Amino acid sequence: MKSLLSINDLTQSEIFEILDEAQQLIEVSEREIKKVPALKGKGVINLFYENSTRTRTSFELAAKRLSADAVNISAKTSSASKGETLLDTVLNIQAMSPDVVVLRHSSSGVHKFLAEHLEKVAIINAGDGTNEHPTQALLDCLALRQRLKQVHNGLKIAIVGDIRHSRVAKSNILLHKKLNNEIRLIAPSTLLPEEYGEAFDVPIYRDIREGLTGVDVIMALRIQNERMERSFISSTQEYCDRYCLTKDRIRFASEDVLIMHPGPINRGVEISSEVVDCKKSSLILDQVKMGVALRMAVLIRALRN
Amino acid sequence: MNSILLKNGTVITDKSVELQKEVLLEDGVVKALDYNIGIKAQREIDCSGCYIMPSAIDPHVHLREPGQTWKEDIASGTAAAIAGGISVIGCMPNTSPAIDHKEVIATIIRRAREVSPVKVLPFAALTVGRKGTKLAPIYEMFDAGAVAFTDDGSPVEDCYVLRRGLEIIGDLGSFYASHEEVTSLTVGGAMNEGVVSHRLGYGGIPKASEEICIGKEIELSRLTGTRIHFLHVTSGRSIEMIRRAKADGINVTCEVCPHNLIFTDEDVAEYGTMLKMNPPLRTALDREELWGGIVDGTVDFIATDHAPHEADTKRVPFDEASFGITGLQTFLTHAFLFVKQQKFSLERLVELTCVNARKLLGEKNSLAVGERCDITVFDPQLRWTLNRETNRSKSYNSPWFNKELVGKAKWIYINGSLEEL
Repeated sequence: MKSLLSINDLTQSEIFEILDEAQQLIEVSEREIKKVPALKGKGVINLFYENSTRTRTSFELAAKRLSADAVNISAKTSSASKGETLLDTVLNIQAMSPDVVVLRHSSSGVHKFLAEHLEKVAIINAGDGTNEHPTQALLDCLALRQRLKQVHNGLKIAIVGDIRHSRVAKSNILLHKKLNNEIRLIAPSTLLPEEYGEAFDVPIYRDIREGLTGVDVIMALRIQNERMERSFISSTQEYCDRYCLTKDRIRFASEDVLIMHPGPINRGVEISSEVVDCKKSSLILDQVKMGVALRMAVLIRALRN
Repeated sequence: MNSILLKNGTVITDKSVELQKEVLLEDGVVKALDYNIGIKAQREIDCSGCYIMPSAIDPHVHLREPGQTWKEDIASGTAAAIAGGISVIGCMPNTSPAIDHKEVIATIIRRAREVSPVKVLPFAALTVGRKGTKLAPIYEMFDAGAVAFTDDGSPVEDCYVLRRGLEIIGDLGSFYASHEEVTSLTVGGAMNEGVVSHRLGYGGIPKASEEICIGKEIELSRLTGTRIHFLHVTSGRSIEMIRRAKADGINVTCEVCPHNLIFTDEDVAEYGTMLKMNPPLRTALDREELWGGIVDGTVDFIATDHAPHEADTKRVPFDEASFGITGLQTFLTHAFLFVKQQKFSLERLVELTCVNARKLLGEKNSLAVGERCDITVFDPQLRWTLNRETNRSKSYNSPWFNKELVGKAKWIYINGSLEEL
């Protein structure tokens, strides 16, 4: 039983193992009958305390394509709305003998907190607060691997956007550090505290053109309204004015630069439509496609003896 | 005649350390303090290996009564104090209702007298409901027994209201105890803002919140002349500001909590919600500077900010958990640990845990012949564990819970009676 709580728990070779396994599973989603019996008879509970389109759907499809029994619980329609605590919810679910719980929650560190109380269930972190989103970073990497021969040792990656509140950014930073890539962060101080440089040992850029110079991959992040308390930016227009990923700005990157975004996108805020829709460089929909295969691999790994 | 002779121990005060001196006590008074007193007492206590000291004072305790007595009440809080060798505690007004009118003060004082020999000194709220907008009835609360004023748990952010409150308090010769926080800077925060909070993904509480408030209030103390006592100081820069203010002749004092002298924000990853408190643990550099303040006298005393909470509020994700840890029973344990670590002398220990806070509050507890004195006999070698059996508080939220500790009070002579602990 192997939970996946954080990128920090994986070695470089474990990362490649997961990516290799996911690679083999891509074709399952291309078949006429999209099913393999790998997890037949197993129960996978998707417990989501936050809204989700991509992550939840791809975890559900991943489980079903592996022949597992997938159950979706949205906290809004569960007894959490009657005041039941997270711990009680998970203990009650554990009592029904599921094999895997896939959990997304708005509090950082929940999976660590729960792991102390759960013994019989593998936990997959589908996003905890502003802390991590490990499967996103892994599927991002899988998408890169479809286009690039090598995704380690020297790839230049820039992340632009609301990094402060982004668990996707954090998992990607941790992942690419493990893969010996060069990762840089670009955002205003309000969305990217100076101390992140020290905390994660990465260079910080305030000027987008400087930050994008020579990079091979650009990851854009949504400006997240739901995580903003106050005054992080005066308006999305102001943000766009300095940091929107436009065709002009990506010219500073390498010629074959690849564009990524975890979704959902705010067209015209953090990324322009022409960049989103440019088939040559945009990996955005590939990321989503990889999501199912990657999550199949993660589920199989979770229950492998 | 209920005389008690304490022998074979080391008598410590803020001025001296005397091995083998004996103490003869009768009806709460020190009758003799000398080598080989030679008088037969009704009870003789062998204090071998122990320190005989004036009982400690913890002027920063949350008793949760009235209103939140599932966390703690006056009976359990004072029981925890006694078990910790403490005979006087100051209680904070963030109760329900707040200690913002004389009846609450009277109730607390009366209840304390009913259940315990521990002296409970109420800190009254400066503003009604601790809301920070309207001054509470300061005179009536002072007359009813309030020893100082504070909205602890909250700052008084309106400088005008605070100024007027300070002026009135100053007339009384009392002081304002400051919970130094700028709340607009700390919204959503759960631990010290810094590299560690960024790595863990927890909301940050910046040191600047404490420092800005201290800077502001030093000036208000300068303006009004009224004493301000800074509660639970955590930042090195705060200590520096207070040091300079004192050198400037400003009427300020401050306290530091044991946990800020022991832990840093790096320990949060391991201990989780058991190290969540407000103000939070800061960096190793801050801890060093707090120690500097203890050693050079900038810090007047140590207080625990004993903050009991029911277990359910700590067994939740970090950002949802309650703020605070208990501290009454481990207070002297850590003070003596610091002596063992050669951080300060035994005399300084007595100053920091027994003398200076009492001075601020106008209390006396002098271990001298002819004086009324509460006395604690402390065994610095005694191994014990704070667990369900030994814990006297209603709450268990301590990072030292179920951990082996060394050093414990064995006896307390309080208000003329001896209690074995």
